[in-house]
Amino acid sequence: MSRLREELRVIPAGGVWTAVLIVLAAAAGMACLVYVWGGEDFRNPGNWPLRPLLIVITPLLLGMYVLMVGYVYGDAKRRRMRHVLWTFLAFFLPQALGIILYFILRDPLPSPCPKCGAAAPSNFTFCPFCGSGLKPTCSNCGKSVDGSWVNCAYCGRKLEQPGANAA
Amino acid sequence: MSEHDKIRQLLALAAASALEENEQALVERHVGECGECARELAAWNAMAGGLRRLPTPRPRAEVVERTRALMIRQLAAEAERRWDLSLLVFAVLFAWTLTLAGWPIARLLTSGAAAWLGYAAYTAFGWVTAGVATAILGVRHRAVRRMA
Repeated sequence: MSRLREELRVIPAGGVWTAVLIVLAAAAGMACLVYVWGGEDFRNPGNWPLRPLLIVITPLLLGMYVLMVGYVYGDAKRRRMRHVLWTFLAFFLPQALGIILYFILRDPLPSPCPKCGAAAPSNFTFCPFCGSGLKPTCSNCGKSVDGSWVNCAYCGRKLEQPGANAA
Repeated sequence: MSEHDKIRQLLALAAASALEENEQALVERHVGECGECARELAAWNAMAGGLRRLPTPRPRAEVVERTRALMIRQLAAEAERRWDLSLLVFAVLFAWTLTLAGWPIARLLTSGAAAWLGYAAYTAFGWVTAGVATAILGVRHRAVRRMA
């Protein structure tokens, strides 16, 4: 639960307030649709489950949608992704498909440089600020290697120790 | 296989104190009666004692530290993967809820066959758009990863 609470802080305050306003506005709009402008369909006793669906559940779903778009905005920003593009995709692709796409394609969180502490994207081999190595590299071809490899996967050179030139 | 042969196979483990209680008792009973096995167990005991007196090899501090750091990274990556998966499942369920909740609303706002057709077209549009976006973004994503 603490992870969830931590992640919810990613949603900007503006997004939370927008969600609240949208829930209230949608509930009011749906209530008008049902009780003021509604036709026979809405007043038909057989259709009674539609009233709570329209007045309560639909606004809550819309509010949750806005919160999720807010999460995509905040999360893409902290991951150094194109947050505006992803927010548009999350908002405009119908049926929350943009949000699903985001969760499939998002980059890993940037990790802090062990030397200067600056956040660097996880695919960087060297820190762009202080130049220190962020990942072990092969001494022959210079490509980043996994700490558990015995041989470099790119040039085949035997790594001196697991991890070769440690970061 | 005779009992003598079975017990002989257990002697090394008995010297290493690696037997269950009942097996240990069986070995002790047999060794009390069999001189050959008693001699063999004494030889194994002498070897085990010598091994215990050898200094325990200690890995270098940097190897320990690197292994610890690697384990922490792997555990964090695993937790992150689990979190990503739960978010994805939630998003898929939410998308289905939106789709299903949208149908009665579309039905109320429109009427007749137009409602079915309109909603089917809307759903198809969503999936086609998402499919095209997935293809474009997936290709781009792979190209970026390849360059890294």
